[in-house]
Amino acid sequence: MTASVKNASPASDTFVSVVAVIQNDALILEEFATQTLAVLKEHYENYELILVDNGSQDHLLEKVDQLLKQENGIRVMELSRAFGKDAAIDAGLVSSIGDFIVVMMPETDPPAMIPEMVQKSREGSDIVVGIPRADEPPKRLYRLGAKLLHAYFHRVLKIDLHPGSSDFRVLSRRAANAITSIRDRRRHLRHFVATIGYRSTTVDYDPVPRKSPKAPPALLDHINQAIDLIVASSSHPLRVVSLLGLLASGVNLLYLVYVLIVYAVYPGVAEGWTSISFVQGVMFFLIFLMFSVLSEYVGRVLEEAQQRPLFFVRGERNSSVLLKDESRRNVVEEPDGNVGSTHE
Amino acid sequence: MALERVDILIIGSGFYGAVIGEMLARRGQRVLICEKGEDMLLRASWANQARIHNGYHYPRSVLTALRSRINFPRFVKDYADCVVSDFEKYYAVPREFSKVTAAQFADFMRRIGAPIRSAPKQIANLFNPDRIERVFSVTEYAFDADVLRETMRQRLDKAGVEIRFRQSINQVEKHGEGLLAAVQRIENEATYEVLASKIFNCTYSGLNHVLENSGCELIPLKHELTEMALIEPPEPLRDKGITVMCGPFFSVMPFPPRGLHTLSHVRYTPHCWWRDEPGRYEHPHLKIERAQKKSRYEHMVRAAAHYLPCIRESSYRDSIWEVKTVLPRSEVDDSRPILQYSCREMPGLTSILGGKIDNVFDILDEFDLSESEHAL
Repeated sequence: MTASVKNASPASDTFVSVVAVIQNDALILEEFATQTLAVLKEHYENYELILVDNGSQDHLLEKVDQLLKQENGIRVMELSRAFGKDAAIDAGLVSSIGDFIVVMMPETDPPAMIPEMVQKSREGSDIVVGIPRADEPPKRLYRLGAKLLHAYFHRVLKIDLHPGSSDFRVLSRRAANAITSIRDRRRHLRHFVATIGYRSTTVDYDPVPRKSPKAPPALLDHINQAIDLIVASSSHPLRVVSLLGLLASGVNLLYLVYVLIVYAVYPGVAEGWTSISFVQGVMFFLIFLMFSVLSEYVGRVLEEAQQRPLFFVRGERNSSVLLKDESRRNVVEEPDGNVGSTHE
Repeated sequence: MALERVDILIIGSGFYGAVIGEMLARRGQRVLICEKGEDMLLRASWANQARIHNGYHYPRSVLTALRSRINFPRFVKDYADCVVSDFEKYYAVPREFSKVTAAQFADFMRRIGAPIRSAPKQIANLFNPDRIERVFSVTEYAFDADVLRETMRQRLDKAGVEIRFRQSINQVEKHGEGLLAAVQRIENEATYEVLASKIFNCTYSGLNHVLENSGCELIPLKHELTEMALIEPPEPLRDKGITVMCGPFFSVMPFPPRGLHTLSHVRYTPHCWWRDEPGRYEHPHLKIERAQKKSRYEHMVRAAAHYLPCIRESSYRDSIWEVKTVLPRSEVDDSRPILQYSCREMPGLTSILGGKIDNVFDILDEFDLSESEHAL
């Protein structure tokens, strides 16, 4: 047995939680769990492996019961049905107790990377994002779409989405608490991680495909996800809508002026054209104006409903001066006078 | 050597064994208690959170809660010396993962007549508002097991009950009208026999030991190896006891014998569990001696801190490890009835399992009832 470095290094006091979402993964569960626990046991004194069963339909629970009799430190949360990966991760995150929380997908993520990523987090990054090295570059259309999306996020919304990142992440307790304090009903971890601020770094890793790869998601799924992410992240599209509405109103206003000028100047205007055009112009002017106004308020309603924390605090520092004014002596000349005669 | 005869032989000098012994001795019976340990009230009676129940702890079992509530004033009166009430007690109900809502909890307590009020604001502020729905102020006391031990010792002495320590009873057999018990001295393994009219098996987790060796059917008991952390609580908690109900939560209570608090968490306190099975029976005390005892204090305190942040500033002092024994039905409805089991093969041998100290009056009343029935 190799000499146990863990007793010497301070890493041993770190409490690490691993949150893994299981969905119909009965075949790979044992391999994943035993590997993960081996890594945790070797590096940390205290740890927990939280398996969130996202409505599995296969023989998962039998495998789980077997595992619970063999290995220490496992906790299983059985969701009543499949609630979606984001909700499942949230369930695990909310009940995790570690100082560092590792979010993993059993199908692809290597437990061997845990110590490195946790160490990076201990060194100061509240968030460590895993970027899997892909075997083959994704399809052109997907790459183009991804580029557009990330450009939009980065340049326009000023949010760093860590392109190419998977769900494999390490969060410090501070970051996890910030995330659980966000009350949004849609739990997009990718978005929360970006929006809470805090320092983040990325770590490249090689995914370990434990299952035969699922068919890659269809283009429509990607588009849906992108839309969800944009809507969750910002009300910028609403502002665009408002501005477009104002623009359209403005154009209609100009059109109204044009209609009046034509009516006044042009001799052979057709019967009814002026009134129709005028009414149409006024209607559209009003509609787009009202639209813009509503759009702005809807954006505000969303913000108020979300009740997001206004800010997150990374830390605090205080002055630390030993003695401010060393020359001031503790002498008074008048019985009621101020302290501190500084002259001889 | 002449055969020793007694009226009542009691195996085990925990609280139940002692109280039953005293009651029967006061009725004129000759009572002998045999205890395998060094002293009385050393194991299950001592190694618990020292709570004098008033019904708050079982909001899903009306009978257990109601009996606790009814027995509370009786216990506080009869054992006033050991009662510790110089602390405030609060029960908090979380928003998520709880098997009852705050409204249900309050309703239930009002129904059984247990005093309950909303806790004042500065107490509610100790809790994490995102996770806790409501905090209630309740009336629940603690008992000092060391004082209780001395009280029982004096009472048994006064009642004329003899207790023999370091002597275990492993086997019982029928002998004429009574029962013959084989008593073994621990230090030299020498045995002798005692003839009794009735035997009460009050050995808690070791209940099946005598039954197994005496050809009786085993009781389907479930055992857990439990760890209670002994902590020095942070300043705001020093004069308080707090329980978060009802699910995978925790309880921090003053522990009078050591001047510390105990911290127990539903998820982390039981380290492992097993059932007594015929043919493969092993005494739980032996089983836990072999068990690996790695403290889960770090788990407990972090999980508790989700609800009560200041508990993170506690100092860990020690852990109390003991076997906790329950009946299978407790899994279903969280009830804690007292088991009074008479062995069919051996009438006169009654096994008693009491999970809560303050409910002992129920079994005494039961004896009263059956005594008067026999008298008729």
